[in-house]
Amino acid sequence: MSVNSGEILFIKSVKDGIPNRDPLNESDARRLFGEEDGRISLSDVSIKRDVRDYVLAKYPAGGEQKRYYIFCRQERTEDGKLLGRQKLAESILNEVNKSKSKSKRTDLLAASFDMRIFGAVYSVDKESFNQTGPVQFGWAHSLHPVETKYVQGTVVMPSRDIKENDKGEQEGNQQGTIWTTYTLPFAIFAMPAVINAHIAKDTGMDDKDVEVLLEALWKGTQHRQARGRGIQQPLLLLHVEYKDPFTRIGYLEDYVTIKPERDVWLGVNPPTSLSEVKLDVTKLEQILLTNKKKIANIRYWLHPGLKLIGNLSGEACDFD
Amino acid sequence: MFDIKGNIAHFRRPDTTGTHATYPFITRTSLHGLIASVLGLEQLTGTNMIGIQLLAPICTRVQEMSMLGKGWLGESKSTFNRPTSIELVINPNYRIYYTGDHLEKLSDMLQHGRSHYHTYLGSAYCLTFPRYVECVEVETIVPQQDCALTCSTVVPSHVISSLMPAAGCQYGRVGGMHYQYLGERRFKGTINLIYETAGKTIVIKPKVSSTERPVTFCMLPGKEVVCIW
Repeated sequence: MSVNSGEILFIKSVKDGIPNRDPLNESDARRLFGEEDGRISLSDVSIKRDVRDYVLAKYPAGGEQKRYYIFCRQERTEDGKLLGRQKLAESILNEVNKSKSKSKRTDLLAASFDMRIFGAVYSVDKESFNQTGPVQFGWAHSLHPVETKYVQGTVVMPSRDIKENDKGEQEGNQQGTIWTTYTLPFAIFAMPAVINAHIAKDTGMDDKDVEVLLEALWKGTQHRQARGRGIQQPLLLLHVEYKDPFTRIGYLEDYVTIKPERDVWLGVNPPTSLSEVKLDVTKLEQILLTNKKKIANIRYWLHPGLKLIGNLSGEACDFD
Repeated sequence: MFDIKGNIAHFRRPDTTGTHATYPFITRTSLHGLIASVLGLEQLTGTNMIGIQLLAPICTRVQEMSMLGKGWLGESKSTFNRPTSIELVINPNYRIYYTGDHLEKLSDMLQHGRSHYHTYLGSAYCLTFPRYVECVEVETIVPQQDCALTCSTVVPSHVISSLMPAAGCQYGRVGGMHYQYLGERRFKGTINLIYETAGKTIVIKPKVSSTERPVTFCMLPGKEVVCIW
């Protein structure tokens, strides 16, 4: 079935880690708005990686219909060398018996979930195409100021191994390597996304793809756990579908706010867990009600631990 | 008139390769592309004149991103990512003045919050949703040589005889911005622009412009002067 134009609002939390670091700032959090504003950010790329990795893990062989391959992925040859985009494309085309493809654009879009959803820039010698994706994510920004902490620790393994000197004695380090990193105790991020029905027709994105995308946003976030990235939890995923393919409300993320207020987050005891915050969706509910006639369907997925101020209309859903 | 804003924007300077530097505000060709997206056109056709007013001070930040490598096998054999520094405009906010062949349809689409394709500020991850302001009748101003004119929008430098600096203002110049998009990633001509970095008005003494890149000064009903080109 065809896809409706729509918008997504995704809210997630992170505890004891930074999901997307800034290499230009000693791997601290990405801080686009400056110290005074205090909010931190996650790139669209990092969130799309969560989606891609989940789909790749769920459908390693493209799924039964051979249409859930992931093009943007890390794949190595037997001797450890990384495949380039041409070889990655060829490996997908081989899997779907299109090794002699006459239109790589058509066949790759049919087989690759991420190309169909996010688009692709494919430029290999004379085989170039450029496809805008029907789904576009914005950057995610924290809903409150965040103070990151600089912490230090040691690992038990020294960086250098034991060596034997001329006298036959063993020489080695007395302790493990010291590490330092920035981390944050707790933060909540909001990310907008749009889905365009016209472009979805161009790429062949269908309603099943929308379901996979929503599932991957939720579960991909849950599954993307690492010490440095922290413990991530999806909190709210809202999907608004419009009756008319041209309609958009826009800026849905601007209609949600977090309690407590900014000064508490900047104080000596900022919230450090989900139980200490509430998400105010009053304005979001209002804007959705105002545009009720344009909306075909609203669904949402809610973390049971997230307390709301206000209500959300639409269908409350669960992932299996 | 319509407004476009966002958290971030990126209008890539075409002369930057490794590092992606940005123009401080939306370019003429990006704006034409945004209008074409709303209308559902591959490319904006016909006669189109635009004016750009900065509603927020210019602020940029650089972020290093991990972009996918271009040719891993045989070149960077063991690295998956290609570190790329991208300069972003922070909290961009512009008022756009438009007149041209698509005025009626554009006005109708924006009034009803509709768009055919995505609209973004230079890069697809910089989402924006144009907000209709109003349509107004304007009075065209015939600039008098050496007669000061206070303008609310950015002004092409080729119609400026002299800039009259004001206390507390900071001025910037954008050089070599693409003038016209021909399709297939080809462009024709460039234009240079003068602006006040916080979006304040600028006072200029105009000079007669060439016809190659026509510029018109218009007075709005509230006596505000905007420059469209």
